[in-house]
Amino acid sequence: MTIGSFTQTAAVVMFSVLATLAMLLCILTGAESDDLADFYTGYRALAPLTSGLAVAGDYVSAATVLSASGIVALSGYDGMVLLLSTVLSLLLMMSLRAGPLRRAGRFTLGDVLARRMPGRRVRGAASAVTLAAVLPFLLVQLSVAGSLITFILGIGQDSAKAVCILIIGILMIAYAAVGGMKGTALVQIIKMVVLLGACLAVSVLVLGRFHWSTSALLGAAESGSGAGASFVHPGMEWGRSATGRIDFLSLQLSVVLGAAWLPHVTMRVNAEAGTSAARRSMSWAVGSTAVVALCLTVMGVAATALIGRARLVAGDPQGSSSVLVLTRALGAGYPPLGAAVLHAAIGGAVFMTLLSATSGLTLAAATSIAHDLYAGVLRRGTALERKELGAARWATLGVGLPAIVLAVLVRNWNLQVLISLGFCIGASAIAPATVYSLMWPGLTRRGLLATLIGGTGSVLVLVAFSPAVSGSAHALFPGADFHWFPLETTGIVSVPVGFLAGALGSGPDAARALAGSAVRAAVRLPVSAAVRAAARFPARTVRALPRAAGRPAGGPGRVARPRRVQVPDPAGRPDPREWYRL
Amino acid sequence: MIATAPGLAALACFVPYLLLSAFAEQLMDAPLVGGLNTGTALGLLQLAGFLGCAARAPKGSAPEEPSLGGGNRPAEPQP
Repeated sequence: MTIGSFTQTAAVVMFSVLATLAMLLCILTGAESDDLADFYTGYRALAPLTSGLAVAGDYVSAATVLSASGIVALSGYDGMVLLLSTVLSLLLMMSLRAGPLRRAGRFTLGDVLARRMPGRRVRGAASAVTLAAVLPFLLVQLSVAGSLITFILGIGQDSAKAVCILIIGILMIAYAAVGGMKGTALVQIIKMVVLLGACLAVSVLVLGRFHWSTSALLGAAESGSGAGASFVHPGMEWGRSATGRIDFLSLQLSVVLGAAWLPHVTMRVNAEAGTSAARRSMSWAVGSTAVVALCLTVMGVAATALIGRARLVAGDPQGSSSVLVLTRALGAGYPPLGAAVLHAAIGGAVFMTLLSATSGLTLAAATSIAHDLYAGVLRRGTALERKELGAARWATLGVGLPAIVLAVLVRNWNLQVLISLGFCIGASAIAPATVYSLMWPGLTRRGLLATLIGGTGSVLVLVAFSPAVSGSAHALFPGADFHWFPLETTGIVSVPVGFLAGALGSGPDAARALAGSAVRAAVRLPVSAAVRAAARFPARTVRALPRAAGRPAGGPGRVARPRRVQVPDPAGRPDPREWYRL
Repeated sequence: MIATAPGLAALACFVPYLLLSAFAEQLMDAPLVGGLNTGTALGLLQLAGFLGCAARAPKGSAPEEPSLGGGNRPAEPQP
C-alpha cells in the first residue's frame, strides 16, 4: 500500500519530535549517578494522576494495543473478552496491592519475596523467573516494531525493518539506562497521553461515520468479516470444539491472573508512595486502561467493518496492523492535511507504545539482574550503591543488545506464542509466589522455591509441546510437529501446578491447613461481605438524621470499635489474622 | 478490606461471564437492543463496572502504612 510523501513526512516529524522530547525528559530527570533508590523508584514524588498514567503506560504494552486489536478485528467477540480480561487483571492486582498485599514494597520481585524468606537461592530464583517472563515479552515487541514502523512510513523493503528495530532498540536502551524509573515514567506518561488522544479521536471519527449506531457498525463488521453473525458470537478464534472452549478459558485465566503480575508492572506499583496515594493512582491507571480497551474494541470492529477481513490479513495474518490500516482508510475521506495529521497521531501513538514498552521491559530485566543477581546473589547484599547502579546501567546494555540482534534475526517469524508465555509465567509463578509470601503464614522456603520453579517449569515445558510452537499453520515452527499438549495457552494447567507446588512444597501439614482455611475463607467472605453491606446501609441513613431524636450525641447508635493497632512483624511475616479478612 | 472488595466483586462477575461465553452460546447469542446480543451487552456492562470500581476506590480511609524495613533503601542484610 502506498502513501503520499506528505503523510510520510508528517509521520517522520512526529516520530522525531516524540523521541527527542522523551530523551530530553530522560536526561533532565534522570537519576543522580550515585543514588540507587532514585534510579529504581525515582518518582515517589509524582501526583496520583501522573503515577497512575505511568502504571497504565507500563501495563498497556504494544502487545496489548496491536495484538488485541488485531484479535478483535479478526475474531470480534473473543478479542473483546480478551481486552476485558486485561483490564480486570490490573484492577485485581492493584486492589490487592492497595489492600492485603500493601506491604510488598521495594523494587523487584526478589525484594518482595526476600522480605519473607531472605536468602540467595530465593533471590536467584526470583531473578530467573523475572527474566523468563520479561525477555520473551521484550523480544516479541522489538521484532514487531520493525514491520509496524516500516508500515507506518510506507517502506516496503525487508532490510528497512532491521534498521527500524535497531533504531528502536538503541532508543530503548538509552531511555532505560539514562532515565531509570523516573525517566521511563515520563516516557510512559507521554505515551499514555498520545495513545489516549489518538485512540479517542479515531474512535469518535469511526463512530461518527456510522452515525453513532452500534447496529450499523456491527452489521457492517459482520458482513466485512465474511463470517456473518459468528463475528459477535463466542468461539470464532478458538473454535467451538471442547479443546477450543477450554483454550479460550485458559487464555482468559492466564491474562486475568498474569498480565498485571509481570515484573515491569509490579515494579511500577512498588514505586508508589503511601497506601492512599496508591489507591488514587489505581483509579487513574485502571480508568485509563479501560478507556483504551474500549477504544481498541471499537477500532478493531471498525477495521473489519470498513476494510474487511480479507484485506486485513493480506500482509499480516495476525492483523496486528489493523489499527493502522483503519486510520489510513479513515483518512482517505478527509483533505490531505487532515489525513496526514490523523496518520501521524496514530503512528506516533504506536511508535511511543513500542518505545516505552520495550524500555520498561529492558529496565525491569536490568534491575532484576543488578539488584537480585549482582547485589543479592553474587555480593550477598554487600554491594556499594554506586557499583550496583553501574551494574544496572551495564545490564540494560547486556539485555538490550542481544535482544536487538535476536529480534532482527527472527523479525519475520510468528512470535505470538511469546506473549502468552509471559502471561502464563506471571499467572503460574509470580502471582502465586507473591500471594503466598505476603498472605500465608505457613509458607516455607522450600514451598516458595517449589512455586517459582514448578510454575515456570511447567509453563515452559507445556508451551514447548503445545500447538502454538509446532504442528499448526500459525505456530512458531510451522514446518515441524512435536506437540502433544492440546492447548495453546497453558494457564488452566500451569496455574494450579504453581499453587499446588507451593502448598505441597511447604509440607503436608501446611498444605492441609491451607486447604482448610481456603475453604473457610470461601464460605466466610461472601457472607461477611453481605452482612457488612447490610449493616452499613441503615447506619448511614440514621447518621443523616438530626441528633435531637433522643439518641446520645456522638454516634449513630453503633459503638465505634477501637481500631486494632497493627504491630508490624520485623521478619515481614503476614499477620495470621489477616488471612480471612481480605 | 475496603480496597479489595471492588476487585474481588469484579472477578466474581467476570468468571460466570467467561463460563457462559464458553459453554452457553445460545444464551449469549440472544439479540438485544441496537444490534447487540446478550454477550456483547454483558461485556460492555462489565467494562462499565470495572470503570465504576476504579472510580470508587476509597480515598485515604486507611491510615498510611509505616514504611517498613527502611523505606526505599535497597540493600538489606542477608543471612
